[in-house]
Amino acid sequence: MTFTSVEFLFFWPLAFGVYWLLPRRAAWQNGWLLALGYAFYWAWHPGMVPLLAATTLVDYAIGRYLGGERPAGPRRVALWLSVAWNVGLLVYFKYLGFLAVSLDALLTRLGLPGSLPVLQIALPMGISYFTLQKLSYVIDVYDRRLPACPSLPRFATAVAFFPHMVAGPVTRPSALLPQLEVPRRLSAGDVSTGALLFLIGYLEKACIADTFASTLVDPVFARAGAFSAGAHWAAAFGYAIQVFCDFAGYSLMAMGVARGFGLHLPLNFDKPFLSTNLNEFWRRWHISLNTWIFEYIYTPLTTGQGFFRGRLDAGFVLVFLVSGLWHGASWGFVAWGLMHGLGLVVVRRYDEFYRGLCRKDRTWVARRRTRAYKLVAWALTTGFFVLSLIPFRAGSGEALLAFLGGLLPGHGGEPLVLGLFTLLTTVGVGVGVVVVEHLLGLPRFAPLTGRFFALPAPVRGLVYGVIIIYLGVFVPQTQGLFIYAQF
Amino acid sequence: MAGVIVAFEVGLRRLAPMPRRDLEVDTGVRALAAGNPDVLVLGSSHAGAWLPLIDRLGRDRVAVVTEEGGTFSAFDWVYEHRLAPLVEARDGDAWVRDRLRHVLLITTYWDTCPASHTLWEDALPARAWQWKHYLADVAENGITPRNRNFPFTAMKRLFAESMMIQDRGLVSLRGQLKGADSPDSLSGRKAAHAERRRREIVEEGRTCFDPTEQAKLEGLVNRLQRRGLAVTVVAFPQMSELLTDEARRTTIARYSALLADLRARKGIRTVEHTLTAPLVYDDFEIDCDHLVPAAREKYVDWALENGVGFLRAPPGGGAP
Repeated sequence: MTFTSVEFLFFWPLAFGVYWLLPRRAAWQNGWLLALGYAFYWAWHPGMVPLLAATTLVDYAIGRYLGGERPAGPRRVALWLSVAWNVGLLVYFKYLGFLAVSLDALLTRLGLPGSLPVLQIALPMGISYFTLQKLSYVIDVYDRRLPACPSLPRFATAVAFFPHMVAGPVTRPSALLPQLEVPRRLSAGDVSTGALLFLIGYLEKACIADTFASTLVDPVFARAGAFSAGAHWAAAFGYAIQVFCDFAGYSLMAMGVARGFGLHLPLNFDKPFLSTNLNEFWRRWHISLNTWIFEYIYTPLTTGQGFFRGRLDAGFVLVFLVSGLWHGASWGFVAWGLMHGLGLVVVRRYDEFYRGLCRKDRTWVARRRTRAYKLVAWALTTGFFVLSLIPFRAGSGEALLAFLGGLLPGHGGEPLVLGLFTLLTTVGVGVGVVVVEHLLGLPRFAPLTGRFFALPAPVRGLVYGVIIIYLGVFVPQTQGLFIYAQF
Repeated sequence: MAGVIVAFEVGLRRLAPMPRRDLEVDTGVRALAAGNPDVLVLGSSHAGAWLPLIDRLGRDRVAVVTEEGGTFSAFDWVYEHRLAPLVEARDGDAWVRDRLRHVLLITTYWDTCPASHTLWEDALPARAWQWKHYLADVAENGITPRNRNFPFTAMKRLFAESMMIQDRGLVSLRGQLKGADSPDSLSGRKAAHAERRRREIVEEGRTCFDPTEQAKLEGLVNRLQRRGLAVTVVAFPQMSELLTDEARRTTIARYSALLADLRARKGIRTVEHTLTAPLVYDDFEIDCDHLVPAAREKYVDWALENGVGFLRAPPGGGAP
């Protein structure tokens, strides 16, 4: 079940209705959310429910242990036990097959007997997300930044809170546990904001991401190299829009659903296509994952006592390799991570170089503020991101090379034919929504959002009605899988 | 917001007709649950042609249960899970529905086709399940593409009056605009269907007569007989001009023999309408398989004189 699946149409009113009919006590509300979380998980794969329960129990117990007054040695052992348990599960379920296949290929290439057993292990839904959430809890408790949660049901609710369990945002228990401690009150503001967030998210996911995939992206990637260069470029940019709308849409829907329960999840996307350098891009894209990675991996590594101390560039490459692997067990994701790690190194070095220029001659400061400079920086950043997504999507080295070749003029030649109706209702609307959403992030247009909400309710209702009609008419019958739910 | 949506719905209704709704198992089950009929008609979508029987014999005497896309396995499932709790319900020593005497199974050779061919199992959640069946299946298997058919149908029923839900993508409206319902277009489509069905009756016939499906029919007959009901298996009419010599010699003859064998062994009544019903090209819908509403009336009137006249007899009281 996902937010756009038909089951959710029945699940959500039941979840919402019972939640607010229950006595207004945190324990009752949490108990219902916990039941919903496990039902949500059960609906995906009944056999994986014990895994979710077991991982929750282990980290709860370790958290309680770490929260007490204990000697440093045993505390450190307990911390590493939790890290090994969580990372071990992730490696087992997500990477063992990949490692076996890669090792097999290496052995074969070296002329050694390979044929390692091919492992077919089902990937538990949301494991990449709840693993990070639980790890951050244990590390925070270990560092005494967060008290250990005394209540198992509350901790289990935070882990299995269904809006963020499948595909984030990676909500740290330190953000969610305090909210679960107190009873929530039904507020019209929360419900209407939640509904609006959900509506926008649904529009992005169901109407833009899914239709971009089926009309523009999938056909070209499926036959990479066969189409014209224009079609390849359209598919590459289309995929960037698809990924953005898929994941940002999901995050908005998750925030909207959570808000319906009176709970706040962190913002996960902040108009990333406005970025004028990679640093900024990663502060705007999948914010919850990147802050996690930088806080729990990059900072301890580069400020600790080990090899990476002070080696910021190596740190960038390492954390983005981890980020690539986190996204999926394939060399395409590793390549994507490596590109971004190296990209950040280049940006940092360039930044240092440019600051040197500025110190010598202040006119360089002014140049950096010009529209032309910003436009070039924006184009480079966006272009780099779009190109980096090609290995992310290609699926194999062969397909990647074919697609890259297809970007050059003179290859393939078959045009991608889209009817005018499709062009207007999918590509036109999709690009329009993304552009407007980003423009509203610019200082010049930002006040428009406030002005819209200041409009009389019937006018706003008219807009919402048109969006719902658009969804009702054009949303595909079969719901597409969320890209980030597969990670 | 609601005003915009309602206005849009009203506008759509004026521009295009609401897509036709299939008859569902629930309709017949509700009729059975609400009364004490003496005739139960069960079949696939073909059983829908027997709806005029309700008018002929009286609403209190007949319940018609149709399982779209069904085969004998599907009928068996429907009987076991939806009908048996009503048909076999007891009040002490007596049957609750003590007037029930006759069961008409409306069939064709298609009902013997294997599950892999008919995909009846995939259709069942949409056509015959209730929430309890859905939840039990989810509890056992999680959400699957198959059990997802149930909430999809539930959603369509929930928004039965919404064109946006019933006609997603405005297929009906777009068809209307493109003239899909013009006489020329309709006759062209019907001719294409006729050609396809002509081939199918021969070619599908070869893959049908699945032993599992035949066993399901026999098991269903046994169970109905144990309940003391008189079973009549009706072979539903085919559009005769689509029946090639080969189809008559193979598929149709083989199905006829199957029914004859069942009649001999089980002592049931079989009624052969495959080739004998006085139906012509225009009596069939565009799919060349089902009957148009007027033809249903004609067919049932004819059937009451040819093979099922015994239904005219008033129901007797007491348990059979």
